[in-house]
Amino acid sequence: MTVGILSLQGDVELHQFVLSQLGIKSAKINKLTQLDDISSLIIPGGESTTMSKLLISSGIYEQIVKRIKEKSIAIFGTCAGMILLANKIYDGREDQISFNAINVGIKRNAFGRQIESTFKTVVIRGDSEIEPSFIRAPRIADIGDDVVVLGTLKQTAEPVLVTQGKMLASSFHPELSKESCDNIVHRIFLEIAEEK
Amino acid sequence: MNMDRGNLTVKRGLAEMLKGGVIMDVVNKDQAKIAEDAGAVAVMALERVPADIRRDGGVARMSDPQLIEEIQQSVSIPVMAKARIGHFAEAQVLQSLKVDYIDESEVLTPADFDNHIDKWQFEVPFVCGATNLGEALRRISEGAAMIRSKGEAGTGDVVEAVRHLRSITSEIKALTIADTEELYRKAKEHSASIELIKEIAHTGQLPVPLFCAGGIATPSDASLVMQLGAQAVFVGSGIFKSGDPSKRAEAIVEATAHFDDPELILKVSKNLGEPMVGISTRDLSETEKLQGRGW
Repeated sequence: MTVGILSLQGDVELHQFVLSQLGIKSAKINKLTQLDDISSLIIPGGESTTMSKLLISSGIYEQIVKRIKEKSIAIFGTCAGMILLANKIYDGREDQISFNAINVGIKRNAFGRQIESTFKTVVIRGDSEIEPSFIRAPRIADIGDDVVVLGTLKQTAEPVLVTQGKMLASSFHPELSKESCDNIVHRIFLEIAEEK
Repeated sequence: MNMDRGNLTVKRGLAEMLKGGVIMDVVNKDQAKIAEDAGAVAVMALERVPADIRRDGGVARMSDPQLIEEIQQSVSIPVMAKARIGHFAEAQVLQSLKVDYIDESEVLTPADFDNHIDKWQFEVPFVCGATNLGEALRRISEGAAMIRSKGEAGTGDVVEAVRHLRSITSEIKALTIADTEELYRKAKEHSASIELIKEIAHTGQLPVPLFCAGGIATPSDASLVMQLGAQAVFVGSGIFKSGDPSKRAEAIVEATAHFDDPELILKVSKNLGEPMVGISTRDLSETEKLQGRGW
């Protein structure tokens, strides 16, 4: 399997590194035609407003919307990626787009500015703990039907990792952690991507 | 201090998120909105763009915090601001203002001719300029979480950006093929710690992201420096000193994201209006150059 990483802007290399540690091939995607060979895609951290513009101008946006409708693509969004997957962005720009793929409402940068950026302990599936970074991170403000919470903050039980169908989204950066945490979140994504 | 907040991984993390993007100099909230609309990943809030600082002369200082605050309130993307080299009190003020990155910048008049800011004392991350590998490593030792090649700010002439970027990347390459015995001499040559020199000899890259600044004025300029190894670009005077800032800003964003696609850069380069007039760096005397500031 080759996992695509949306490479219009953001921390593409960190995701590439995690996938290589897991023995998975990755391909950078920044042109429409490159999507054809891909059935799983990571949307990295970065600026959602920038990615949103580049998604439109490259034509990739329309194609991903179509693939999500066909259920022919699994997508994992981290931070900015989560904003792009959400059904609702509370404080986005008027022209900001999203894929409407996960039934959650998101508040951008709601964990604060960079000075508030930090590591937080996240409990995954109720048992394992990881310590990923939250960088100007978005908050899940509300959760609708069909969304399954896979990860919560240890301190407050606030949801920070959610899935719906073939979609997975995290407020945090599992690709930028204190320790590698066995790359557990990327493993979850690979499980989702491999399900028929 | 919460050490996790100021942790280098978290500081460097934001720079990782800015990769492949364009950071634009803005002097008011209207320009900040134009930058955000055009797809900037961050803005640098300052009172005067480098071209005007150059023209006006005098002492260039940290911007009025009120202005920076207005810009912070008007956009949702990260906001950076500049402090003078060695002026840790300006940096403390910028940290209190919660700017997302502090640029300890040669564009402002230096406040200390011997020492840079001890950036480890701060929770907010710092970006610093460098003209060569040694300078980059000294800044990293002091706690910088991002390096930008300096170029010659406010000229619209990309030649110095190219020279500095090439110098950093070729000096890195030289380390990767050096014998272990030679690394000690290299550390001495670069006035850098042997630990950092060894690390770079092993990894072949700086331990923090490498961005490019100083003289970028066109989409092709952005493509050039990205192809030379920059991971993102700063555009100062090049946008708001041009005929159609909004259109030029969008074009530079596209060209940075698709830097290896000449067809696309051809398309976005058409009809951009007047570029900034610029000054050839050859016409500047050594004392007029900003790149020599920093030690």
